[in-house]
Amino acid sequence: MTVLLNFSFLNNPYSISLLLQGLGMTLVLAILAVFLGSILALVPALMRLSPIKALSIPATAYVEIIRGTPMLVQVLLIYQLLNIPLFLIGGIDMGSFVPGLVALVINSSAYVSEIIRGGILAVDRGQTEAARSLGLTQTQTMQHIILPQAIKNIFPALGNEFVTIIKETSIFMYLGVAELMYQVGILKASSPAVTELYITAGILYLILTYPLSKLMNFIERRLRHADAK
Amino acid sequence: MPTQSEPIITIDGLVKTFKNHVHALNGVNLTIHKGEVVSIIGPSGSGKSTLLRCMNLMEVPSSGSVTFENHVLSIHDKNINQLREKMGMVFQSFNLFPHLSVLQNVMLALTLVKHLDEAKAQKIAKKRLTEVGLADKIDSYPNQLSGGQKQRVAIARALAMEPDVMLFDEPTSALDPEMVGEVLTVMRSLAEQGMTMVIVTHEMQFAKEVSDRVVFMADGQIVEMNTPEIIFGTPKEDRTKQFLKRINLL
Repeated sequence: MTVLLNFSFLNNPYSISLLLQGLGMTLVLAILAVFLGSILALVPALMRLSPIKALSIPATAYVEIIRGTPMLVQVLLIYQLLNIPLFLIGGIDMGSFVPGLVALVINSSAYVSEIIRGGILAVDRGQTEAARSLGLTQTQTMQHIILPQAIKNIFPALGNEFVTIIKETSIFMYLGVAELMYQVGILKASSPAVTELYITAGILYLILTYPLSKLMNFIERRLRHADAK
Repeated sequence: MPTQSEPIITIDGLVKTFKNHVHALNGVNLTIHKGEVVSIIGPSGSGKSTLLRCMNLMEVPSSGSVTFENHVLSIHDKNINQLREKMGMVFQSFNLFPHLSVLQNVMLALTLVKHLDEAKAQKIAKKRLTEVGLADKIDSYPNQLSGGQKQRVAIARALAMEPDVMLFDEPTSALDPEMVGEVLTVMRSLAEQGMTMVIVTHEMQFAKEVSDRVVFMADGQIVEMNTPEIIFGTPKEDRTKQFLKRINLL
């Protein structure tokens, strides 16, 4: 079998601009989701670490439910629940963008909360004991002793989460958010080169994720180096 | 011997049972007096570290009470942080804060807990670090230090808070043999300055030399306590004799 690939659509400025717009949207979604998700993630992370069951049980339930159900279900459910009518800001339909982003932030927060919790638990218990024995409160200990050390454990894993979220934004095509796969869908309708389009999409995702992984490795090494100084 | 002076820590009927049903302490009574140096010795697993860690509620006792300077300690007490501040603790594994410089390690609680301004805290920290012989290391980070230096920083960090008592939890057990001496020297000079000290240790020679009283523990109980001369010379209890024989001290 001979496979002849035809990437001629790449000569078309219209296709290129659609794909790049899609890529831009994917990146915007991923950055917003990881940023907002990481902030939100502190809540379930600290709740789960609490010895008070009324705090830890709901947080555990939240994390388990989000991690145990498909993202597609979450996205469609939140889209359905929020039910925002179509309105445009900067040419983007907020009616689908907002519920999509909310779903992505919630999903990301559950995964990141586990990363944060793991990062905090990985800090030696002796650090807490030393701080408390000096008279620091629990909050001061967390803020000045535990979190600055936990960051070093959290950061590399957070990079992986970013890479995952970039890939998962592809789910937004179901909502009609004009991210990369949605644009591929549009081009597909007018082009016979479907295989080539999918390959192009894959490469474009890789262009986002690969340098990111490398950057994370670099930062991780720097953090370790800073520790060893 | 300063046993007539007022008590600083009074431990009454202390029981500690861990979650896995290990009975670490089975009813311990002990009074530490102001200015006294008390060493706690005994085989590993005898509960000596647990006893020490109950004194500032690093471990919360299952029953019984710890009274420090006329306050019965409770983990739910709002004052627990103020009381802990008065009890310096030195750990076997140093527990320096690795993300802070030596100077910052000593300054941190001065600014956060005592609310001193930066300049004042720095002055105190430098003074304490000079006392333990580390004036030239203030800008180093913990992982640039040897074990003995780390432990001296930890002692300076605890002393900076001007505690009324110092609790030492096997302070030399994690050290290479050649570094034990420098830490013991610092502790000895502290004892000579009249600091109240409770020391869990395996350094029998040191315990013999600096202690006013030696407590021998086994199986979560105090078997015998007396002056070092009697404990190391003519102990009364068989358990004490057995233990000292095993480590070739009797």
